[in-house]
Amino acid sequence: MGKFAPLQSEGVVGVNLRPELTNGYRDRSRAVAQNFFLAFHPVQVSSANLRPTYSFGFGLLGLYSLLIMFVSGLLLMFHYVPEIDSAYASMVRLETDVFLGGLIKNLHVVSGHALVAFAALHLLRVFFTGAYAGRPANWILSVAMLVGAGLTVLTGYVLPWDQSAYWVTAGAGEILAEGPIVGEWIRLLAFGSEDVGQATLTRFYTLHFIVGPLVLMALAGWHVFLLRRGGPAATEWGP
Amino acid sequence: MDSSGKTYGLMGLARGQARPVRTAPGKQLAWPSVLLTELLLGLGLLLVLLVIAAAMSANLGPPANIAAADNPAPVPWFTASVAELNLRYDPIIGGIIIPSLWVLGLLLVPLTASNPVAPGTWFGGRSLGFALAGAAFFGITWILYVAFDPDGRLFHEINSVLELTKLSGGESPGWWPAGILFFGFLDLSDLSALVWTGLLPLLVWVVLTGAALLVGRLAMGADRREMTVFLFTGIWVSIVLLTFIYGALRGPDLALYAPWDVPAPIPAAFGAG
Repeated sequence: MGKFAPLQSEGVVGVNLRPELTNGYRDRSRAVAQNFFLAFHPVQVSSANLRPTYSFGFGLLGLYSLLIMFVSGLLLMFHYVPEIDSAYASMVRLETDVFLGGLIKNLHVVSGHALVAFAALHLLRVFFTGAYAGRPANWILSVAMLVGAGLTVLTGYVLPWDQSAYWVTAGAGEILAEGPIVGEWIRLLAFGSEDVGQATLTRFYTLHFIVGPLVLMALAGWHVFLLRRGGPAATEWGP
Repeated sequence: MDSSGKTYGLMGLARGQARPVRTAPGKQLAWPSVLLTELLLGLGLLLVLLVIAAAMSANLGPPANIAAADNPAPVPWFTASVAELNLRYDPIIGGIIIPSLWVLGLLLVPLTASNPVAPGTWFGGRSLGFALAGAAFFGITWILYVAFDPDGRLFHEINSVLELTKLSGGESPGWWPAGILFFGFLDLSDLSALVWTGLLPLLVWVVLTGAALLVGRLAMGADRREMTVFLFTGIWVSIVLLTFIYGALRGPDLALYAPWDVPAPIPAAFGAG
């Protein structure tokens, strides 16, 4: 086999996981086009689009925040108990008994806040660079992700079952119940009861750990797909 | 093969695109330059978040006490603007209608501003002027409004003084029997509160904003996109301002303090999350 053998001959690992460390245009193009993780990049990227002062990387930073939130949340799931009599104790145990438990919990909290902040900053950047032009679907997805990120983080507030968790959620429920005609019904659907209780904790746990992440990941995948299909927005050098 | 040993020759010309053999002008190969930048950005973010997470104190508060609410009740920072609106206006208006209009307005941006001057570049010139005008208009209006009417009771007080509607049984308008349901589910006994702390202030905002847009249209010849820029920027400035007001200037019982008079520690603390 030659030094620059085709990637197809590399087997499952080579094609899907390992970009080929080769030189030359064709090999580098092939590394992107045929690698599972790299295939959502175009082979060539517009330099204008890559200027740090153009995008500030807000979209990518949001995606990274989402991934950090997923991984840290997954680790927390191994220790968290979604029952109102045990939730608080499990959080205390996490902070005191589990190796790096407090750090991972804090990382999860911080990455959630970062996700909302970067989603908002990304939306602002797209607006002020006019990058939404000709991409209405992607703009709508950005708005949906901003709202979805906020709701996903909000549903996590109740989980520690401490004083702040309880009253933040109770306050959100009161606002929800004020909605015209169906407000009370929506509160009941989301909270499972008129008060913040076990039903609320169970539902918010499911929304926070399963529904929110799945929806956000689907929206992010769709967003990247449309971005990849539509090409870069920045076609010229800005001021 | 002829006697020279040549094994190729021009057989004909065909139309079509040639496969590029090097990077096109103004472009970079994704691998490795772009991907390495992305990797470094990710590692940098992870490092920054880890440092913040390590520096944070344990943010678990005391166990939930259903009998005693915190004063003031904490809210997540990204909903503090809605909490401030909810405090000032009737909850249907402040908590539901205005935030829904924000989201609806955002969704409509590709329709109302479908013709950016130079897509893919930060805009300047006239557009920047309209953005700054929107920021100034909404910013100054909010600051004056909050300074002179800290709790959004202005129209309610006007009603109390002028007795425009009789307040019987709390907030019920005089002409509607308290407790009578409309279509079996809508209790109009709250109508007075809805009007004086919801619809009227909202109407004032609509009129003021409409007047500003009209001035922009008539005096500056603003098109639909420039008016969208004005509104978009103004609304985001409003969100930031309201977040600051609720999060940093409100104390116990959600009383409003002047920035130089805020009691320590920071009063309406954001929920730890």
